[in-house]
Amino acid sequence: MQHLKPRLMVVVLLFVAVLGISTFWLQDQYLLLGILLVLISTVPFFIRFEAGKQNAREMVLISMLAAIAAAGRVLFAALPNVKPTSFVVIMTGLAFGPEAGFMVGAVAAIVSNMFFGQGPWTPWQMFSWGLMGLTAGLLQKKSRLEKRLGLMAFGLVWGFIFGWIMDVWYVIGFIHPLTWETVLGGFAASFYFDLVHGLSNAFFLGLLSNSWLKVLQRIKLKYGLLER
Amino acid sequence: MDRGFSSVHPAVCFTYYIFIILFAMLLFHPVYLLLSIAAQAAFLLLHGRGRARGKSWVFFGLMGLAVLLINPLINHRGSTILFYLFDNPITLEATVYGAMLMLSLLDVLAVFACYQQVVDNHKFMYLFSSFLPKTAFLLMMCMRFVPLLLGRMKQISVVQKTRGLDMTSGPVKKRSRDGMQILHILITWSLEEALQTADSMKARGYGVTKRSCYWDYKMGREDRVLLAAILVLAAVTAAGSYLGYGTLAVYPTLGAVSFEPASLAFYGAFCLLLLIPIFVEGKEILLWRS
Repeated sequence: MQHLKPRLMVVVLLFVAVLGISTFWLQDQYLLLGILLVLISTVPFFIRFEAGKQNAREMVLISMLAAIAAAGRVLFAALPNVKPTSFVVIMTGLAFGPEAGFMVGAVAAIVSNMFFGQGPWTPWQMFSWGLMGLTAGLLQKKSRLEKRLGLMAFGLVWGFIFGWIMDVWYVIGFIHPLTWETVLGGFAASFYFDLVHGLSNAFFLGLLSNSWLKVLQRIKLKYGLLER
Repeated sequence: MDRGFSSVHPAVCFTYYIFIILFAMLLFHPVYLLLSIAAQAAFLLLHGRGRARGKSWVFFGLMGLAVLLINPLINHRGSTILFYLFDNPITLEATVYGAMLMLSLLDVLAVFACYQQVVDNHKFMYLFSSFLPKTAFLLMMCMRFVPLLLGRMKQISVVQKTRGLDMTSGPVKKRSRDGMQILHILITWSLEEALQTADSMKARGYGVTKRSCYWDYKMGREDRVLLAAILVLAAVTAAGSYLGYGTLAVYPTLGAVSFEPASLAFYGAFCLLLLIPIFVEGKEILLWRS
């Protein structure tokens, strides 16, 4: 835990600095403020990853999983609301823990956007997919998400959380005035897409999680990976 | 081979686009926004990228249209009422505000398109490998894996088609299940192989010394001159924004677009900043034609 403290301090200081600048100088620049804050909140994970001692196997494993998540997005490009990336990210979190889950989610977002086009949405996707993998790993540690129903509910809920985080950049940047009604309106406009995303997550997790976990856990056991 | 603005040192290009993206979000003024959109469009056309990603531009256009329409419909601030729609006043100010929001959205998207054209993935990696070496390495490997995996996916789907697994036909539920089956085959194939790659990397000394970079860029005299010009012009534009020249007052009454000398000077500085890539490209075209 004491390793967390300096990183946390850095992030808290950056948050305060950005909020200060935005209060005193850049009023009403919500999109810029949002992008900065989202990027800053991913900083501790990247610092931790840079400081950690991964061996070559773990590095290649993480990048291969992220590549599979990104390539899945390309494979499913014809079915835009079915996001296999989310499934792969959740599976990684479950099998290899929260840190690997975060890295795979964040890297998959950057790399898949190298094929789809980067934009103001990239940091938000990094954040949401990273958080998805992180929470999957954390919940697995705490309460065993092995019960299929719990896992499916987790996927369904994340479909909506992901959609709402992705609504935020559009709503805060380009919808004025920013009131509760307009924000809820933005969420309502994406309701159908979020529902399809959530349902497809639940569908995949219910149907395929066992066979995927078997594959990942076998690899983990065979090569003794990421066991700390 | 890189040419034109893409052949400038990546750090210079990256700095340039950071400023242009910042200004696309900060400056809320029709003159600035239109100038920036025009410059980005000219740059994309110069690169023959006018038709690239046509489909996403249709989507972006619809997004912009939504922004344009939503604002006057939900926002009734402003003093000049144009007409009444279902007893709700539609004001001139809210309409103009919506139009500027749309321009700002399109500008941000166009700047990203130009950024991607100039700072390609290799240069991004080059810039990041110095202070986030592990993350950059991870990204680099991942970037290489994606085309490899797409090739494998094609092989798998051709073979699996013979036993009825087909992602291209049928209802969505069947197609997505078949797609996941393809991913499952892919993951069992690729993970094992990835670990062999890792062992081979280790055998060749991965992690023994600091990593070097395949591409090396040298900061030349022209790069320094360009960087200085970018910094000065961006500072002038930022000062203009700080003094309030970068924002058009819309509420409660629509302000006029100012053409007094001071604001003209700030428009000029921003215009010069925008013209830098086109100037670099144009110089090259002239030199090679004559």
